[in-house]
Amino acid sequence: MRFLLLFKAELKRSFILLSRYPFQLITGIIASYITFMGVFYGFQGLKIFDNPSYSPGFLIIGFLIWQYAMVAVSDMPGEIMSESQTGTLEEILISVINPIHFLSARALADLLINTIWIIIFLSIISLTTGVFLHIPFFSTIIIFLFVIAGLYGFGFILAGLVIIFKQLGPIMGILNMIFLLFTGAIVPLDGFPNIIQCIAHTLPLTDGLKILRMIILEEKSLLYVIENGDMLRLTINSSIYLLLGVVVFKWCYKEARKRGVIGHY
Amino acid sequence: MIKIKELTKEYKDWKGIVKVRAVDDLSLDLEKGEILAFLGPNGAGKTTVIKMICGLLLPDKGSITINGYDVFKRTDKALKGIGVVLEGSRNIHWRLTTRENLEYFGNLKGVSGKILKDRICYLLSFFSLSDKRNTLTKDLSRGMQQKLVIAISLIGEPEVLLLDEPTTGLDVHTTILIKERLKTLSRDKRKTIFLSTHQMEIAQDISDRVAIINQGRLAILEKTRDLNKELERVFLEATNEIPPSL
Repeated sequence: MRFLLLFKAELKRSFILLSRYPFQLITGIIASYITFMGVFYGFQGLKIFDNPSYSPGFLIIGFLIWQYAMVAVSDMPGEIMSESQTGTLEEILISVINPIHFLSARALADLLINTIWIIIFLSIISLTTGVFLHIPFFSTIIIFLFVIAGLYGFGFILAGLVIIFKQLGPIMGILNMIFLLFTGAIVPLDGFPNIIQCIAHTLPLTDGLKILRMIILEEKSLLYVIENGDMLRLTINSSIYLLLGVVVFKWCYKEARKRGVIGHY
Repeated sequence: MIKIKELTKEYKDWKGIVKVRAVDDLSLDLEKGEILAFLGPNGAGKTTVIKMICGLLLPDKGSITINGYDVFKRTDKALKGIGVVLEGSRNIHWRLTTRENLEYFGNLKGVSGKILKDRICYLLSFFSLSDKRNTLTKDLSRGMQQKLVIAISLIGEPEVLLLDEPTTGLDVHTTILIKERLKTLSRDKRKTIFLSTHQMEIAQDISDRVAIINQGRLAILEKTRDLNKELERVFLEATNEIPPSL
């Protein structure tokens, strides 16, 4: 009940700020649109879409989920940094008492806002490219929630580090590239050396992307991915990341309270 | 109400070497409805003590209980009944209005619906902010922002208020208003107030007891009345005049 109220407060705050300062949303959509169209037309010119296992839909799903991943991973540490900068972090932590609840509520509120952003973005690129995806709603949501849980685990780890070290920029840049290139988001993993493929499958996005493509592009059912073991691998992977994230964050938060650096920036 | 026992806090560098002992073996009790003025020069350890009481900082030694609950073991229970004003005016969302800030922090503290609306209405009126309810916080004056910060600390109807330098940098009019409101909260609502300041006149005007801390150690703990008499005696001995402010 208390968490729902917290979530409501965060959602309302996010909507107020979005309606008061829409410029960030608009520039975000424009920047992503330019990037996507650059990749799309580049691949089309190189005739990469002629490969039957690499359709425009493959690229669209990869790009959209990568966008989600970047927000999910950077949201929690970004919010900690932003609240530290504005000076409100200590006031919030005193009010909610449990920082995990606060970060989760804010992350979920931002996820909803981000979904609006993604829907607008998907509509624009579908109209521009003429590629329309048939998305089975229920199966996609289920898989997506498991993917996002693992990504939030990653977010918790980074948020914990930020609460102590107050720096994020360089790490985010590296993660951005790793998630873009080594998860199969825009480039299939088949051509990579085996060792890289193995490492790629430990990341929280790789298996999720593979399953989402099976469901949306190959029209496989949820039961199929459960029976072939892909869903189990995704569940284990996401659970480990989420659990590890919470443990690391709690440790970092305690350490920050010992050192007296929570409100510092 | 609040029991602080043998509290010690050292700030260390990354190698674990002690840079400063900010609080040194501090013990203190506060009764319900009491205003305790916590005085000391800059760097004496006042903010460190307040941050430990509200759980933002972990001590190296000692304990703090609020209403019988240990702040570091039963944090949720202990902190449920406290409101905190930390130093500075940047602890509110500057891109939200006065009312939106109160709603947001009210929700964070678990208050909602009609109760929240009524409290917001009361607090806006109590701190003379009703006509600024829809003004963005960044457009408020420093004094108004500080009144809003205190109002936010009261939105959860806490029994204990921790205030860190709540009147620093404010004009005379706002300082008088805040002092009056704090007296009302203690007298009429029986709120326990822990007030950190380095302004002696505020301590003399509104507190029941005065604690003076220096280099992390408790130097003086007296009833304000007794301390005023002592100061008067010292002043008289030195000048043979009755001090105007006492």
